[in-house]
Amino acid sequence: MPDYFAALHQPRRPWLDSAALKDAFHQATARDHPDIAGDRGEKASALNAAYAALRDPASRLKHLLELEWPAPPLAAATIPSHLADLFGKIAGIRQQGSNLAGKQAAAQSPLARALLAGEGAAHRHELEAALAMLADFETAALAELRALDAAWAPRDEAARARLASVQQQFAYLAKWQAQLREDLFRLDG
Amino acid sequence: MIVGIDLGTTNSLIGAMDAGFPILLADAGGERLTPSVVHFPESGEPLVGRTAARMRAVDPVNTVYSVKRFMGRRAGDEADDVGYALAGAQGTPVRIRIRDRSYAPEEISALVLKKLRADAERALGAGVTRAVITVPAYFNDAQRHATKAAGEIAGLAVERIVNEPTAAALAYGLDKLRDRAKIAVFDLGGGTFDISILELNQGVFQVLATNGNTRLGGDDIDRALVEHLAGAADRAVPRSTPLEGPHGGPSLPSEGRARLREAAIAAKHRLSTEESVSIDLPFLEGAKSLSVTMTRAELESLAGPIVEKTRWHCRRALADAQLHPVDLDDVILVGGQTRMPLVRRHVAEIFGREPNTSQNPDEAVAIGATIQAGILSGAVQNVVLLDVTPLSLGIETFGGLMNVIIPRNSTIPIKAGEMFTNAVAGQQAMLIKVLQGERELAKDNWPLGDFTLDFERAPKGQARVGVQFEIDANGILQVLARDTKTGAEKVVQVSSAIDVSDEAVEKMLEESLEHAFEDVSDRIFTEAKLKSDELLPAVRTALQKAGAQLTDDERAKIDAAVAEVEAAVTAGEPHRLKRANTALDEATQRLATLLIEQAMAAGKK
Repeated sequence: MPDYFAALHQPRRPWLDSAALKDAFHQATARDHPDIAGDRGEKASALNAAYAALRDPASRLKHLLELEWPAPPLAAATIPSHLADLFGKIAGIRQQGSNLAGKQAAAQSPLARALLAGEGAAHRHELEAALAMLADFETAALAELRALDAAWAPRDEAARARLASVQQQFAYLAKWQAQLREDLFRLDG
Repeated sequence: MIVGIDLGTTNSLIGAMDAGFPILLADAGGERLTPSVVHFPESGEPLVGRTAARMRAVDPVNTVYSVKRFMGRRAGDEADDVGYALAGAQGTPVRIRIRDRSYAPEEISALVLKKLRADAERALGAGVTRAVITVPAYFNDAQRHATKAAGEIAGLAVERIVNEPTAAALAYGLDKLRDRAKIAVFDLGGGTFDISILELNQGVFQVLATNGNTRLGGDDIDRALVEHLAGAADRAVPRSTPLEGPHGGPSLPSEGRARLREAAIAAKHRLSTEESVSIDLPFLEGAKSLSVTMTRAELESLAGPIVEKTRWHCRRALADAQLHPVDLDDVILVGGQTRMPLVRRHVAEIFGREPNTSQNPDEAVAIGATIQAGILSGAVQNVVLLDVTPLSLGIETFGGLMNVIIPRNSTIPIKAGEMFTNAVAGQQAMLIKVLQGERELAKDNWPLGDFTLDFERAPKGQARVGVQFEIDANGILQVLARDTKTGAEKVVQVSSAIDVSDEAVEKMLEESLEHAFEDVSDRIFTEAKLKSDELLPAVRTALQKAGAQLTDDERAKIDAAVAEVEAAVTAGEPHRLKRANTALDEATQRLATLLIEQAMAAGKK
């Protein structure tokens, strides 16, 4: 398995400064891009893969877990209860959204579409509120990640479980944010 | 020496680095802009550029323009509304028929490239064999291949295919290498539209997202304008055969049509700076002449729906970059069509700011291609371009679904591996279909081609072949297969999806015939009835909600239109019902507006 942290000269830790990471990527790529290096793009592909993996917390933590503990975890971590509640809520909003989308797609006349305008505005409001709530959860998860990083010791078994739990939170949050943003995009036509 | 070339739908340019600066090279007549037009005279060598463009109105059937639309395309993908003849059966590569010969679009483009190359060699006093060529960012794999092939036919080693908006960003940013900024490049050319969002960071130009439409451009506005003028000519001079033709197609002889087109384009250009122009075409058809006045407002009402199509792509690119218009430092306009005031207003509205018009809309892309050539040759230092793949790459999986392997807007070059195993014991081979596009169903995406993986004989799930999908810095796909036992890698030939088998073509033809024999009148009634079934209850509900705000006159018109729809349904008359539905749609327009206003007001509370 490639070490993406090493590829971009980053410390192998849970927290990375995103601006410093971007600068490191740009500096490395300014040297290794095929336009400069004259190769077939082997080095640049590796840098692109490393940057894509490290800039997003969910994939970064997953990579860190795999590097530090190559053996798979003994048991799957359970989903924290506050995330399980959130999941129900988001599924409900998305269900409403797909009902509305169905009605919008079926509406052929401008009048029928206009009749749905009120429902559309209400749904947009719900999506925006849900995204704001997810942003709050993300802020909390980032705070937890910083705390974890401050107490970071490689291969510490206690840290492993915590890291896995935070990784899972980021993965869910990222997925839901992407889904709700996409729903919002589609709602605006 | 590497040259930079903008191979445009309407015009092409060529440039080279000179003492560290990109300069564009002029032809013997001192012109930098070469029309991408090729004329085939009855005997002798084809004419290219300005001399060919002059022949467009005189000899339209032997003069090829806008050939970029057909690069990497199949017959039937594109409207064939050009003055010259297209050949090639449905589903096979488009070919262009001139007299007794047919040409691939790449061959026509190669003639334009050869002319540019000769001009550059004359200007530089040296041979030119290597080039960077630009393509629309939203060009797919097949279109990029065709562009590369055109360069090779013209005797040029194509060192890099660069996306046009990215090239324009280089031209914009070359004197801002110390800055950090986020910019959008809005590129509306003759035939294609691209929107790219970039981040500039001390010499690194990183594309964050790109979107576009390879069939949207100034040509569409020209076409709408020609239709409009043909209609005006009809109304001015009553005749037995209308200019527009019975199905909206051209019945005007192609020469008259070409003259109309030329006049339309000239009028469009002048209306960017003037409020109204008069168009006079004496003896357009026999003794009949055309003389009309056109205002900018009229042109804008024709062009409005076309320009509006760019909005969705801009929103998509911003959403993909996870940015809002306020996050951008600049919005740069390139492409000749962005000279139109309507386009500028539109961009200002979408992005909430006045666009930056510092770049020459015709030349920025060629300047950028030249800078990229300089980066490759070492003449330009401390600049690097990180581009993305515009379309998701995937393969077809069970149930005809698209399985994305490399998502759109991934920075290139990029590799992604996929492991394939045998589904049944002793399976010897597996057919893999490679696709590009954003739709869930495989059939809705662009097929790049397919290849066969060979398995060793083994129990179910035991034979394994790893496949590596690689998109290079040109945005072109390469596929490598790796035997998991020996570790040997080999390049897999992806057979181009453009070479569709005869069988497939026949099937497509059959399907289109089936539809043709359906009872047309029955279908019209069923469709119209569905619409009125929706419309009538919608009108009732809307009247309850907002009917009180209508004037008596508006109310009476709606009631009459409702009565007519009901009568047409009872009578079972398909065309009458269709007309009645349309009339009811029109009569309820203000009602629809009132409903939306109500909803917006409620949303604000």
